[in-house]
Amino acid sequence: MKNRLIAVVFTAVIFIGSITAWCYPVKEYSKEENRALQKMPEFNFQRLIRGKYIKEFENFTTDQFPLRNGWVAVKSYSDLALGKKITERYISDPTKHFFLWTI
Amino acid sequence: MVFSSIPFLFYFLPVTLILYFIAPRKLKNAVLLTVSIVFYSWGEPVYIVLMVISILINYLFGLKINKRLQNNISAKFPLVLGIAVNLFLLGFFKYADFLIDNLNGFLSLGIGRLNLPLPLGISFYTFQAMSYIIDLYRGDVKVQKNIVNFGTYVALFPQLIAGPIVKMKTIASELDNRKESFDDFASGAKRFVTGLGKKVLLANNIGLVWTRIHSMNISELPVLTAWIGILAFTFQIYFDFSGYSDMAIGLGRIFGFHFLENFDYPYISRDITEFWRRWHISLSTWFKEYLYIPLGGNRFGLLKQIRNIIIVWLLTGFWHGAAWNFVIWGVYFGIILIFEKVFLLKVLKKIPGVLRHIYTMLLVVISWVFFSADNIHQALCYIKTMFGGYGNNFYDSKALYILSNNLILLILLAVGCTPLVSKFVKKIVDVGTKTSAFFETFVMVGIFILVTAYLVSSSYNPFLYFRF
Repeated sequence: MKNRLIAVVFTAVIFIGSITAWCYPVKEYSKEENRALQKMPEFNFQRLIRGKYIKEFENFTTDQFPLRNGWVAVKSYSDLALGKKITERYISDPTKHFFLWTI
Repeated sequence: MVFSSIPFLFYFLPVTLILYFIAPRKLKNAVLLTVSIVFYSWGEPVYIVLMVISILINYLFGLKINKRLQNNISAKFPLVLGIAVNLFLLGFFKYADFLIDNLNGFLSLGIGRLNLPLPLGISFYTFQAMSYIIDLYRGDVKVQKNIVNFGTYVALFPQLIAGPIVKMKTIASELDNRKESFDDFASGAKRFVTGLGKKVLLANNIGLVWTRIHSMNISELPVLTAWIGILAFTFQIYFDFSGYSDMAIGLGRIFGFHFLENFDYPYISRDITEFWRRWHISLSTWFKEYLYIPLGGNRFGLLKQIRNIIIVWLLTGFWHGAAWNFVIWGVYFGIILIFEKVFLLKVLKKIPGVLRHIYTMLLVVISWVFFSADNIHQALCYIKTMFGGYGNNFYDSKALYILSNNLILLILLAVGCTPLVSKFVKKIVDVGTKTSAFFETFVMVGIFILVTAYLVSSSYNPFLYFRF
């Protein structure tokens, strides 16, 4: 029973994440970052061999991850909890941080 | 592909789990081999050829050695040839440029560099393959006649690119016939998520500190900053590497394999001999079984033993990278181990435990200076800075800032190096009630959510930042 719970929850988390990621609508542009987000790259054998296709696919999976801004907020809260004043990406002034999250 | 990435967690892993668990027993290894090849060729599409060649060659050498042994003919020739081919592949792809650079340097030749990128995991899978043919020759394992099973052994994606180095004798029976279970799946999943957390939340996080300090001008660093930097690296390499081993062992268990442990709280060691019994165990036992003991080990007197230790550690260092600083790093440990063997261990046994811990960690931390440096000169400069050799300040405002910014993290890391966390968890969990199962599941999901947040955020470059 005990182990079943862990096994089922682990599988569920991965599959829910995976299915949501597949179905989530593609966003073209990120206002917060002022850049175009990576779309699903078109398959091309030459690009695959040179490793470019994979690189773009990896960017696609993170750029288009469901609720991306929400995850970034979770990360910045965890930085705050660790007592970090500056994170790699931005100054985590609580107001600006809130600003990021609500944009 | 790396485990700590969105493509692995939410694309590769779910597809692999479905394919593996719906496949009939006979096809399970074929599924593992196929997904492992996809895993390997992800980002390294060309070198997959090299791995396939390595599988085929070792498979054929295995058949040859077995045939000779069965006909009571000496199998020494195919064994030596097999080892030579493996070492040639490793040498060519990993060490050719090192050799060329040194030939050019010492003899002023003008040989052009090959500039080959290092094939992913080649040091690990060639060592695995070699352990198979050697054990086969020694009669410690049976021949693997099924090419799919043999390919699965060499290419198995959990441990393919960063170990542990799994020996055939450890998983030979599981390769032919194994049973997956809920218990294994659950403990594997827990182990995997633990490793994921160690890598993404702890190692990568403290790695930022090391990267920043490493890129500063070393001879101008205050003493405190130099120490924070190398301590950051000390934590980073442990949590990175042991986290990877946890993930590998956990994934293996999900598919019904039981690999041996690779780390056993190395930073609580009280001497260097103990440290190397707890750090990267699969590598040190490999060198012990296939090099130290065949060289004679400790059986032919102290002088021969010292020679053997030096050879083993020279090569252990060299295995870690084709550069002189790795060789120095290995020999450094070899010399300490000889000192401990000859007299130091006896002395250490008489002094208080705290001092022994300080002695061990000081030597380990200094070893990481050599390990992490780009070259020997840089390593020596760094050590000089650590001990105030440039007459720099002990600290400055920047050092205090880095320290205060990472203090909580450093405390978490220090605690995480000890068995305290696992003792604490066992205290709660061993109660065996439903509550403990909920607690474990809750922690696991929590770590997974944080890891996802870290991974997704890594691509996030807010426009805001660039205005400052």
